[in-house]
Amino acid sequence: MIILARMLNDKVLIDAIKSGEQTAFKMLYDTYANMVYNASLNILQQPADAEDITQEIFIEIYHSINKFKQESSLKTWIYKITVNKCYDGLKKQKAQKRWAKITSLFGDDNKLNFDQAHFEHPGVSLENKEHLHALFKAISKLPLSQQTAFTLCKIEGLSYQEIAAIMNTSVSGVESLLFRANKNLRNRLSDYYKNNLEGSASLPAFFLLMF
Amino acid sequence: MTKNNKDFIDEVINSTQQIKRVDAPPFLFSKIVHRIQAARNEEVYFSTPWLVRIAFAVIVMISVNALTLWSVNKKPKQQFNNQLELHKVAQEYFGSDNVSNYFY
Repeated sequence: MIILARMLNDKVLIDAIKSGEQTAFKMLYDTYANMVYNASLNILQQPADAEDITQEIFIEIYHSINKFKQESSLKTWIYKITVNKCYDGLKKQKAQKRWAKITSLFGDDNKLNFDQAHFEHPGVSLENKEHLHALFKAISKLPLSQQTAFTLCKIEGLSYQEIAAIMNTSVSGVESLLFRANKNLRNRLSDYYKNNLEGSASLPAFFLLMF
Repeated sequence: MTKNNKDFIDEVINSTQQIKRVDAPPFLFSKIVHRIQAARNEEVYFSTPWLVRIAFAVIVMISVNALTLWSVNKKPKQQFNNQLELHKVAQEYFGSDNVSNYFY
């Protein structure tokens, strides 16, 4: 019933935007801005890039709302645009990273600007900062499709069906992507634990033995 | 994988549930509207009068190109005709078809 009511609202909203009503576009923005911004932030891991991409996504929505055939829900369609734009954003980030590496060889210090290891999610409490810092670093090393599937499922909390519709794949395809993403993440986090925490975990015991 | 290691990984992966959703930055909507408006103004700038001018320039360029091609292709034919005329003159003066006589 709620879904039907929402679809009906979306239909009214879309028709109003198509007829050129600015207030309808503002309503659409108010409904979906946080969703788009959070998804962009989780995928791109850069607040400034997420803000730019959010702007581009809403401009794209404004220009292509006439092409929206309402075969899927408005939310899924907006997520689709978000994921595609974020892919473009990630490619741009990688190109910028490469360029920064090249310029850093010649003395410029651009490298720090594109280092995702410094990403601190604004929605994370202090006690979880350490864990999520390691997690986001590991996610950024995953292949693009696994990264997207994991982010949409575990952070955005979408269902397998919704992810399948967004990524143009089947539910079993999503399951397979998530299985591989989990496996890769576990391997990476295990390496992280061995390299950074295993030694420090035994340090207190060592000091206790000393005194 | 040790127990500590496994616990750490489980803890990290489950920490995604602790992420709170953040609000989109303020004034984002006005920035979007501004960019849409700017794009629309650009569209107006490059609208019909400009398109007509560009189309006219393209037509002129194509005409000039066609004219040049036509005149370049025409030249060998003229040369051929000149050679025929030369043969005729040579025949009249020297009574033979050997043009080399004319040159020496």
